[in-house]
Amino acid sequence: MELKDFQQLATNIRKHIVRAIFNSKASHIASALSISDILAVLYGANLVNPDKPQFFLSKGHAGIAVYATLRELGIISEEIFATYYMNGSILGGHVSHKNVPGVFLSTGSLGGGISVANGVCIANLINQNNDRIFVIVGDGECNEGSIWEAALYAGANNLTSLVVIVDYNRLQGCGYAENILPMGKIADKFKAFNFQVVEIDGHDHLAISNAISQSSGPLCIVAHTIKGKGISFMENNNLWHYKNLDNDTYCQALKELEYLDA
Amino acid sequence: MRKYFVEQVCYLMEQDPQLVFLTADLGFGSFEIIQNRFPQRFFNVGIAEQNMVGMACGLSLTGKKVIFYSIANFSTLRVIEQIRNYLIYHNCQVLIVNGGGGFSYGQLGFTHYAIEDVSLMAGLPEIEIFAPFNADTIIKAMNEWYSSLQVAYLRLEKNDLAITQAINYLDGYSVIGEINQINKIICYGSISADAIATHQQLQQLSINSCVIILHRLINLVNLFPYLQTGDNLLLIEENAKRGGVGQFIVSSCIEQQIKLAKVKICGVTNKIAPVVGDQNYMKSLHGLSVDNFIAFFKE
Repeated sequence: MELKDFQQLATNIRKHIVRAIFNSKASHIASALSISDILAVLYGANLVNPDKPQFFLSKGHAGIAVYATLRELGIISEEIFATYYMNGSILGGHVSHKNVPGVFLSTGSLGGGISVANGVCIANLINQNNDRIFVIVGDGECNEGSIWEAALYAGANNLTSLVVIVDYNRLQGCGYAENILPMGKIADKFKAFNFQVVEIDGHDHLAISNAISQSSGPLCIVAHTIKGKGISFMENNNLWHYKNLDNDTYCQALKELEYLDA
Repeated sequence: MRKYFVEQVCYLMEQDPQLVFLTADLGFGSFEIIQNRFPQRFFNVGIAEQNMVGMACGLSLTGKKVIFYSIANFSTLRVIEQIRNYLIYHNCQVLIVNGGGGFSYGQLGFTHYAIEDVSLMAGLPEIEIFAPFNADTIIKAMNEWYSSLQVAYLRLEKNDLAITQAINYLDGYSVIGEINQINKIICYGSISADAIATHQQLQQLSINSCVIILHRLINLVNLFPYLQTGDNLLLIEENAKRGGVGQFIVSSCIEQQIKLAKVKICGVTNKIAPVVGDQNYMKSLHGLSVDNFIAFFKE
């Protein structure tokens, strides 16, 4: 896939996200837009096989981004996707695996994705399987102690197939992370846990792809992202952690994404 | 109890190369045999129970079966959310093992009492709870889990129950005495020794009774036909009375319109004892004594 194709895939993912959030009046749109480029590379470059437990979204509230990616790839049908967040839907607001093709782990209570990935890495070691295992965690999510239990294990046991991608958008539920529970330098923390760490622009598809190609240890990619990326009035505006779209904001958001198409 | 557990772990791991064993740095002096025989499938994950449960889920997602171990309330209360969200919701074939149910670690203090584990685990959906009391019931429990394809909780206690009476093994429970006696004692785990002592002393008082020892604490459907209107029922458990098995059985009797003549649930009270002591001492502080049990039937 060429760079322009990643861009198109990311834009299409964002369009699906915006449409689903508008139709459902759900929340967390900005969190989903934050990771759309990362998902475009993981799936667009076939780094993740959607038939295997190879990718986990630990920050489950951005689940619509995963559903949108799978919708764009044709793994989730439009019929199913259109039910998102509705009564009787299999697609909950936090990413859910039950009967959802391409999703293997339900999350929502933060802090657990890396530990599950550790288990898959260990299983792959037993099975002599070299598949890389990807987890996206939020920077706010790194407040959770369970993140560091899991990181300690992965680093100490040199789980080289593990790739942790931190969606470093600096915002969490109630505001800027540095004003809520300052984490210091996330990169230094993962380095201290024996990870190889690279810091990149989390919206630069080439940079994401190149970072993933690093493979000399458990890898942590600190992806500097913009919460709400792609829609000007949502970018770095934490209102959109919870707020949903009305007719006007929906039209404006689509217009901005259509502009990206052009 | 742990010795029999280890033997059965080795047996199952020998049979099934997909079976993996995790411990959160407990089992010193007991688990070396597992580690030595199956070094590729034994993992001491360190004192990090949350990571251990997540790992169990990840292993299970790839088709592995997992047994994980800790003691006291570290494999249950400490990680109850991970058990619910990861293991149960993902239908993981995982056996959660606690090597110290009830007041097994009485002298070690409140942090080491597993006295709410049964209540909390029983409140979760789609889980089975096993409370074996000897080698046979450990083997039965582990085999039942192994063929069940679901999450189960195995509550071990440090001491096995030495029973001299002939014992039968029915579907999820054993009976000492005639099950049609109107005086029935239902119990599980090592406190069943006190139930049996009660039964014996009642015999000396010419009061007939029977003891039903549960091995399985959730799926009790086969037990209820034996509970009859007019029974005097004493339920004993080394777990919180609140939300425990006793309350579950009594409420089931009410739902099924079994009108018990007399009923009493003896469990751990909701008063925290500010002292420590051995298992029997701690039980006695909560009224879990043979004298109290006999008094119920003499009243």
